[in-house]
Amino acid sequence: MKMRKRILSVLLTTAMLGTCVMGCSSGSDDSGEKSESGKRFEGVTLRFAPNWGTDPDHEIGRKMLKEFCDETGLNIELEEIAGDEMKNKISVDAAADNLPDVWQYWPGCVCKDLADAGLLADCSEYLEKSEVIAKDHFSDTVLAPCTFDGELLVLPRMGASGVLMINTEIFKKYELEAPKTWDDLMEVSKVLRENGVTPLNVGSKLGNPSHFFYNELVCQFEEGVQDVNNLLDSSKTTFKTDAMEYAANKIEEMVKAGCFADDVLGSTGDWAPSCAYYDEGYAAMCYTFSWQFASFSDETLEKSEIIKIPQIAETDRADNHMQGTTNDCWCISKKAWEDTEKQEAITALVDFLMWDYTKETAQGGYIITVDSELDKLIDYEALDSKLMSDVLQWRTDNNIEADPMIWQSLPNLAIQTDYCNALDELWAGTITGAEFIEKCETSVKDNL
Amino acid sequence: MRVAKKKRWIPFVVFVVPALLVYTYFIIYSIGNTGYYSLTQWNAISEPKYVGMKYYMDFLKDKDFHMVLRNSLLNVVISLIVQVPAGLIGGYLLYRTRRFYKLYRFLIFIPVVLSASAVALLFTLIFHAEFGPVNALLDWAGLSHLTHSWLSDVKVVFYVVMIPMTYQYIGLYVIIQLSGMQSISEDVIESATIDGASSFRIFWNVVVPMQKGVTMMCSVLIISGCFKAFEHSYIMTWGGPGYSSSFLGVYMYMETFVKGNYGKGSAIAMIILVGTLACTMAVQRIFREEE
Amino acid sequence: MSNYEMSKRKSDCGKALRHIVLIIWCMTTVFPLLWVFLIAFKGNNQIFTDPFGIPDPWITTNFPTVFQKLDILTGLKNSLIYSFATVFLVCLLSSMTGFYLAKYARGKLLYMYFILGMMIPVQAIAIPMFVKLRDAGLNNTRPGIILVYTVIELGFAVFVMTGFIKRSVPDELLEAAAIDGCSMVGAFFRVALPLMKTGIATVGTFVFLHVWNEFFFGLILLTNSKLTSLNLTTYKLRGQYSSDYGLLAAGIIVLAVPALVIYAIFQEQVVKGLTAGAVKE
Repeated sequence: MKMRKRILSVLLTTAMLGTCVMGCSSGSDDSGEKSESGKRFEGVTLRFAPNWGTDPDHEIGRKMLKEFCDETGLNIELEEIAGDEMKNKISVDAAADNLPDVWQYWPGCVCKDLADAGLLADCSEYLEKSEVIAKDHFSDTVLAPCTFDGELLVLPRMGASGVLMINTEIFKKYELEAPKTWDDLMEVSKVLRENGVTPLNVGSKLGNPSHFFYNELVCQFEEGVQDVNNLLDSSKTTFKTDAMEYAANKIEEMVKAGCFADDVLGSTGDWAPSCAYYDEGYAAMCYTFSWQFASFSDETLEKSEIIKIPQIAETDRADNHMQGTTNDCWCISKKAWEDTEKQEAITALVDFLMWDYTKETAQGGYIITVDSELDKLIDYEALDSKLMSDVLQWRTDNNIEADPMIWQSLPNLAIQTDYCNALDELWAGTITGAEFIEKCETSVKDNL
Repeated sequence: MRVAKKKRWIPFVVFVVPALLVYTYFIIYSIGNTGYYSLTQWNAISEPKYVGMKYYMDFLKDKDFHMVLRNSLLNVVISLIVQVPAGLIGGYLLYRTRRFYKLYRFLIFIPVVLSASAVALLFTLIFHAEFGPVNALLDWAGLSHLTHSWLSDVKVVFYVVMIPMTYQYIGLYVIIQLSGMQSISEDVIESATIDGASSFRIFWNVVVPMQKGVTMMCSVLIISGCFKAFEHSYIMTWGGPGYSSSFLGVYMYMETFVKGNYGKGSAIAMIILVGTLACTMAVQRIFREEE
Repeated sequence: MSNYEMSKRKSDCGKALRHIVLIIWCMTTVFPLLWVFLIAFKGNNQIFTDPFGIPDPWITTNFPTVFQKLDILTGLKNSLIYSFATVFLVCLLSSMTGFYLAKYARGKLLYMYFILGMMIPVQAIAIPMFVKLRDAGLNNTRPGIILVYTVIELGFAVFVMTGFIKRSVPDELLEAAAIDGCSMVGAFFRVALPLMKTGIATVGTFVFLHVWNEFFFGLILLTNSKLTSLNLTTYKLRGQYSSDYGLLAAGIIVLAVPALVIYAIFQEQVVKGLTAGAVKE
């Protein structure tokens, strides 16, 4: 008994001493280091998961982030994920209660489940705290997909712009004109096919880049635009509309006519492969988005010409519209934000991402900023990416408006996944347009 | 060996209890959990909501599920037909070879030690429609009409995904068979040779019957491997287009961890479990009956 | 005599045929690797136009770029840690359990209970494991994943070990040890364990290969980049370099090499482990 008491007291003393020593040492550490290096976030570690692969703006990001960390003393655990794999990672992390502190994601339905589960920090708190970024930098349209039940839960990162280009060399060789209407497009495709050239580079791997292309068709009708806007409201979500059905049947027709590559999943599925396919001269036309602009070689761009989306005969809209909205966003984990030790550092990191990093990459012509203040600082005459300047110029000249995006407007991630899978099948020619609509509709029913 | 009765619990506690506890809690109890989750609608964050047999009922009329199940069963059948005989033949060839034996053995076993993701990525290049060797070889052999867009043609993509799996695992069965054969006593083979039996006869009449136990073991490994097959299909095509190259393992992953449908994912997991057990028992019965 | 010659000629023919089959077999095994090695030195341009030719020009930047971009050393280190830790734990647990099951247990019930684990596919326990580890705070930790691997390998290991011990540890030795006053634990460590070396090698080899190639649990339990195994590092290539085919090829080669080196060094152990008659009942 005595022995036990003694042990206990020894243990207690040790514990107390330990706490004292630790307290002292951590205190002295802090002050010591601060006075020594003057770095703001010495000892703070943040987990940061950007959607980075091999694009030039990702390279810039890595370099700038490193400088930022050196300067502030912040320790970043970098979890780089490329492409749509990010959705899987974040879904698993959310279920495992292991979300990164800050990550790059897509607004709208991709964030919906996280927002519902209350895992995202209220970003208006960040905007209040930030001295660099303010809410009035962004227009309402930009903020719309970032807002859930009236609360701003994610921060818009960049805008996007689509482009349709033709390879003039191939067109000249077969004495073809750039297609203005959908019927022209089919005609052109037929000739190209006969000569063994793939008409259009759009493939489909988990809906990339096909979902944008399908979307272009849906939005050739006023009604279609309305349909897309309706998707967000889960009581109105449906794929059984005239515009959606029309577009699905049209795609079926195109697949049958051989407008897309034979290998829609292997060699033209996903962004980079589909662009490489055009770049290597396998496809005569290229439909892609701003994040791919830097991947084309100069020779290819030299012989490329930007054209408008061909118009279907039945369209009831003018031809000055195209896909391109707030494309992705930054998320802050609620748990991390509520951690007072981290809050300062997160604010600084997000400031850096939304201002310094965005500015650098926007000036490079790799992304399109949605921040109106930043926009004023960008010298659009001097972008590094020539294609980006051309596209932006072309958009202004033709007064192009941005259409709403189906992919982003669906009510949740499960439906989005099914939608993308169904697109893959539609592109691969395994299901008809009607079956495509049926599949999406079933998913809507099952997942709402 | 018999130990005094009163002390019997000591070895039990020392030797078995640690493994038994870990095993029971994490495997047997977990299966119970999976069974329970499969009756609920659940996203792993909020509370599970009981829905009864809903998911199992849905499977009956779900076309995607039917396709995935068919893929998995076909995978089992084809793998058994291809890999079991290949293992036996390969093992026997090696067994009878003296010269370069080690070199052959080394090369045949190489794919087994490569990581699954490396093999899957390798085969995405091999089957690339534009520059992959498969299409090039067909062109060269004058069989251009057989060239395919291997990874997006739904008629073939499922078989294409099976090829890297075969490539990777076949070496394992060759070596397992070889190891079994090496424990056959020399006399048996020698006396057969002296009797003038041809190599093929020895293989068919002596080796194959003696390898029955090993062959059954290989079959069991192949079955459980096929039912849980995941990485090759997932890496090469993400199970697509649609679910056309998915196996149950991929389908389960997609539903659970991508779409956040943990209840349905559990139901698929239960199907995988039942399928594996049923097929294993069937194969064991076939082998027993032959005896 | 002519009979002998005929049979000799026949066997020569057979021999040649055997070598031809084996050579073709080995070529199909090695060809994909060699081809990928070749295109790792080419640019996209040449890969598309001339996938089989000698690289022209030789692009040597792909390999350094891979090392720069992917954290291969971390992946390798993690893979080794997971593999060896699991091998150690599984060998320890399974040899103890196998020892009891082979030498002390009455009836086969407990044995059947354990080997049931062999048939259970990972998916059947994945979700509860995920939840259990999460609740214990072990998701995204090394102990967590090692625990999972140990658990899923246990059934198979117990099966192999029990069979092995039954065959190769004679009862007489244990009895003699008991008469000499050796305790159960002492008998296990001093008498049985040395005789189980080959069995342990077999189990170790299998478990090592399984863990080395494990993908599913790695994907759902290890999302932090510092903890990812080599297998998952390789997998990252797919997303990142999906269109720079030369770089992708270089990545595949770089990630295949450690496995090949390990295999080349331990070839004898690997094959002997399997050859030890592990799978013979």
